[in-house]
Amino acid sequence: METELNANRVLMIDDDEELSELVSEYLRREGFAADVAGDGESGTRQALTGDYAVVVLDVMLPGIGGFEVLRRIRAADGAISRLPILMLTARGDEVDRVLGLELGADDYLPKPFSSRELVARIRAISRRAQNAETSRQSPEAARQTLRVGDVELHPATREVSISGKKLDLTAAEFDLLEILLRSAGEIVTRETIAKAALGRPLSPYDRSIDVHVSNLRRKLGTAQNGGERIKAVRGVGYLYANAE
Amino acid sequence: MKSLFSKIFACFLLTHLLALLVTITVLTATDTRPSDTPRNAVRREYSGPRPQRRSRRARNFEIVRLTAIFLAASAVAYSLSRYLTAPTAKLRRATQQLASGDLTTRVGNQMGNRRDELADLGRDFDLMASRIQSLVGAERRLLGDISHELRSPLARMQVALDLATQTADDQTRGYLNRIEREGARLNELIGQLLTLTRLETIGADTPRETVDVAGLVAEVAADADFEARSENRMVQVTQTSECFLEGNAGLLRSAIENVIRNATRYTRENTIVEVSLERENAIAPSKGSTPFSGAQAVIRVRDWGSGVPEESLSKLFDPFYRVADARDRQSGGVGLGLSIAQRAIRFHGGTIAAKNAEDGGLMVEIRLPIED
Repeated sequence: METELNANRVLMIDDDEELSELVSEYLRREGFAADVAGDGESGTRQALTGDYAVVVLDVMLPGIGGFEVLRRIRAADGAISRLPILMLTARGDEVDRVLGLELGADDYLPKPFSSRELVARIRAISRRAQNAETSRQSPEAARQTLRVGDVELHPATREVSISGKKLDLTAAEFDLLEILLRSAGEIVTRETIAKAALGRPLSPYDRSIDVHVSNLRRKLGTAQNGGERIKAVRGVGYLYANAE
Repeated sequence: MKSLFSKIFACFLLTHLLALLVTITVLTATDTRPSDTPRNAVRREYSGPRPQRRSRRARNFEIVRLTAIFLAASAVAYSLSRYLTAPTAKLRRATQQLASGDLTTRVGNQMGNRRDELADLGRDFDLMASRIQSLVGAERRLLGDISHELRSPLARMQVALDLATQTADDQTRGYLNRIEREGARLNELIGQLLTLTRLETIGADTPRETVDVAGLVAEVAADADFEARSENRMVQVTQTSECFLEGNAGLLRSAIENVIRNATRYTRENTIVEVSLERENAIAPSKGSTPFSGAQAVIRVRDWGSGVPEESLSKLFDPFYRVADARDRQSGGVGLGLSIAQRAIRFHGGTIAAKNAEDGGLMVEIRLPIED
């Protein structure tokens, strides 16, 4: 019930008040209800109230920065830690993007952005988060634990373990791993991965998928035979190598 | 005898060899003296043959002693030379490290407890290094701030434009689209200026990994093709080959991307930009145009535009260089793409050159040294 109530509520955390005002107006026209926070502290407080479906978070904030806000939300207890977060940055720094995605931002948009693109991304990550919640609650999925080699993935609890040791994955990394494991040994195209892990089709020159894959690779470590678990298939996509 | 160490060592050796020679000469002189001087002759008279035996023994003893002195002095000379020159080797290593981009390099404790000019030099080096580090750090921060300050108004402008477009009539919408395009161009210019400036200060601290060149070319070509199709142009990979190199994938990507995007801008409508990747194995270095002779990856990007006047070919890689041609201004580029490509390729030890293709259009050739 609660999800229905706040499904269209967006919190924008950005110290650029004029921009926040303009964006709020655009979002309202698109049927969202938008609130604005001007700094990291108050933004984190507001985000943790649970009143919002999506947070749009600027990297550069006075006081505690955007990354710290992201970390605090992700470290919260319960469902609120899975709040979908879209990060914005005006520095155009590759490092910002990689770090943001690594810390568990659901997506990333460089400033200046087109408002249409912003709305599309907000819809994509909130849809993906809702799907994840639904699969968490559906009983038939709960029984279907995916097991490939030493990796175990539980869709119900959204937990992953390697040889019994629990892994700490972001939402996007979990979805990415799930889709790779479901077709282990087969190539999964970049488009399919983008829809699963980002909830949207890929735009040209967008390397978000590769950032997620390389983070996931690092967390998974090498396979038992010492090889790479996730292999890149040039120009097509990725595949999870069956160890057997 | 190139190193400072061998010079100092040689000086020490020469000095003490000379000293030895002098000593030997003096000793031999005292040995021969007895027969000449009457005072010794007197002594010799009552000592009989003993002195002769003694002087032979003494001579043997002298030889042993001299050898020992020689060896000991050599050892002292060696360690003295080491002591004097070791700090210069350390300083040199530190300087090289700093030059290759590791700005955190300091000599500091490596100098031990020395209190001499070399230790002072080490301290001065550290001062210089920290000054350079703070300057470069300040420049990088400034770049980030500039980017932020320039992009924030652009971001506001973009959202305001989007709002205005929603309620505008067709004619106004046309103008608003125009403003949006100019805004996008300004944003691209900011991004490329920053990239170019960053490439100027690039050094060894840039992360390197094994890069699959063929994969990179395929990915960039696919993206560029996707983008070009909306303008009725295409990008195709006509030939590819397995090539791997140690480098920075992000930089290489931006180099290849800039060259291909540049080609899609100038190629005529309904033509295909052709991209090829060839592996050339080690060749004799006689082929003048290439500075390296090992295996290379050769990437060629060919468009079907009107080419470039011969005299402008080499200037294409200069920042903001524009071929004097009205058509050029409408093509949309900001004039930095090829400069960025050139710097990124040079960082990988490669070359980039442009020439007019035989049947029209421009051909840009990138050569990168690769693993054998």
